[in-house]
Amino acid sequence: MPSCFSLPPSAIALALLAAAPGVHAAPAAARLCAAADVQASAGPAGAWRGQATQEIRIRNTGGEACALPGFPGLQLQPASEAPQAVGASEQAPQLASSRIELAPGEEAVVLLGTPGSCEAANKPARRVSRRLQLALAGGGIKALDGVHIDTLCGRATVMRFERVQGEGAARAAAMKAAGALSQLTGSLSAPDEASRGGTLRYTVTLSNPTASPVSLAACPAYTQSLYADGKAIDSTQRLNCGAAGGQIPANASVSFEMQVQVPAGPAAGNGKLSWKLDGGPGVGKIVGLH
Amino acid sequence: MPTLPLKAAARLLPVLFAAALFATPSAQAYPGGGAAFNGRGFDTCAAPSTSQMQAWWTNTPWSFVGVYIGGAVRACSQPNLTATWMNTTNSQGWRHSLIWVGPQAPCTTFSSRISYDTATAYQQGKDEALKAYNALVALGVTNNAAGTPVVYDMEGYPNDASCKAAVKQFLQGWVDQLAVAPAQASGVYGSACNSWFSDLATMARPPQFIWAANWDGNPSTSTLSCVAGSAWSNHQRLKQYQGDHNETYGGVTLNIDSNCANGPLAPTGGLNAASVCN
Repeated sequence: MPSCFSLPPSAIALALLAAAPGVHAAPAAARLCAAADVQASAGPAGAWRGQATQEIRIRNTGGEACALPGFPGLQLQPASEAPQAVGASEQAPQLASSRIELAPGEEAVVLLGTPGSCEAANKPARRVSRRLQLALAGGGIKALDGVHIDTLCGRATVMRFERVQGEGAARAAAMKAAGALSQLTGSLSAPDEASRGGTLRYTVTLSNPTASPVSLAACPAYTQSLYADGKAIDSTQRLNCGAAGGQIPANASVSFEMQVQVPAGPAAGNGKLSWKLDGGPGVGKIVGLH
Repeated sequence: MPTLPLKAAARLLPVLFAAALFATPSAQAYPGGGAAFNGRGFDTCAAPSTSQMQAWWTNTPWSFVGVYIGGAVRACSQPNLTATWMNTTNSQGWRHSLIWVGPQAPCTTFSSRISYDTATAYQQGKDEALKAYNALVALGVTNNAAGTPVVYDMEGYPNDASCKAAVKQFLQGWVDQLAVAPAQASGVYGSACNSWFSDLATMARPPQFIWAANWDGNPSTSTLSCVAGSAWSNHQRLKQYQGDHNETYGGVTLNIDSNCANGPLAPTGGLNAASVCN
């Protein structure tokens, strides 16, 4: 299908941009989240990087986007001691001013940590706070019960503050941007080893697990790459969609034969093969290069 | 990351053929099992989305990812971690190091702790192994997860004799239960010095492999502080050689620890005698 191969990569990129509207819902200048805009909940109390941790999740339950200009003001509320402010950890002072914008329904996560061990921990006494107070930059305070933060071995700090990259939201965004291609699944079959300077031939199979055909009429682009010894070669091409009949029927699969020239330069070792359909699945394999 | 701009058709050829049309796509399933692998990987508190994982696969040094599959003190919620996530990331090319984070040493401040009583601790270790096995099956690992490597995360703790004895018995229970058919490969993660791997080496039935945090910046698994060179020396080591930093690939920034494997991963391996991880 020569016509499917005739577009240069730049034209492919332009075509994809034209077809893919922006998918991020939160505007750049969202107002600051207030206590009334969000719901705070306690996640698990855990162990990570030597710290006893407590996860806090903050969900935008309002009707419009709002921003957290850093993690909220946090204060432990021990039952029998004075309240204790919680700052950023020494390793991550930037978290105090890391801006996160939350579209309605989106979540941010704050992970608090205290040192998990010290000599004093060999005795039964503990200094556990069960209540935490959150002060939102947009105004208002949230009290959160049910946390477990033990400051016996040191003060609490914020180790992590980031927007939750949910799989569901990511799939919805991909669906909006790329349509049915995002519903395809892929698999790759390639030999375990290849010769440097030779040609690696492999097969990519795209499967349509849905009850409706998925059109390939636009000859979607794919990117193929081989990474070895700290270097990569890659290329973007059009899928040979015409030879596939222009679509993948419901509950059916189509296989495409591929090949890549393995450079002679890299040292013997493992190479990473990657194949990604624009707006669709990505597949890969580790191939020993000798 | 240096990238060679070799986009010429002579170097990388387009699709040659569109081939067979199959009527029914076979359902993908995550294979049980594992094998020794040499190469770099990363771990992060919460499993990234599959699109982020794709961005981190293409043209990066990373070949495996550490995944916290469960346990009473798993630190981060895992909204992305499902059987589909396991399948999808495996199809992308990733190997996995599967981590269970249950009760910690009794002489710590973690919210769930092992009993000081060694008999109780042993049974607790067995219980955790069963929970981890069930979690593997729930994540869609086929063949009853036979041969699948799974790692117990035992964070560092003070040098206290009764505490160390309890942990040792707990981990003996972990190892022994995982050895029951369909057996999994038993691993332990922890601080190279402060999780006392030197003690674990003297267990009656030691873990089959270790994953040691030793943030010295040296990817070589042969160099581990506080661990004898002769211990776990037959493709039985993973090393976390750099902690707590951000890296960006494909426009995706993650806060990670950097790791090297010269030991078992799921679901398959891949030895490389020239790897810097050896």
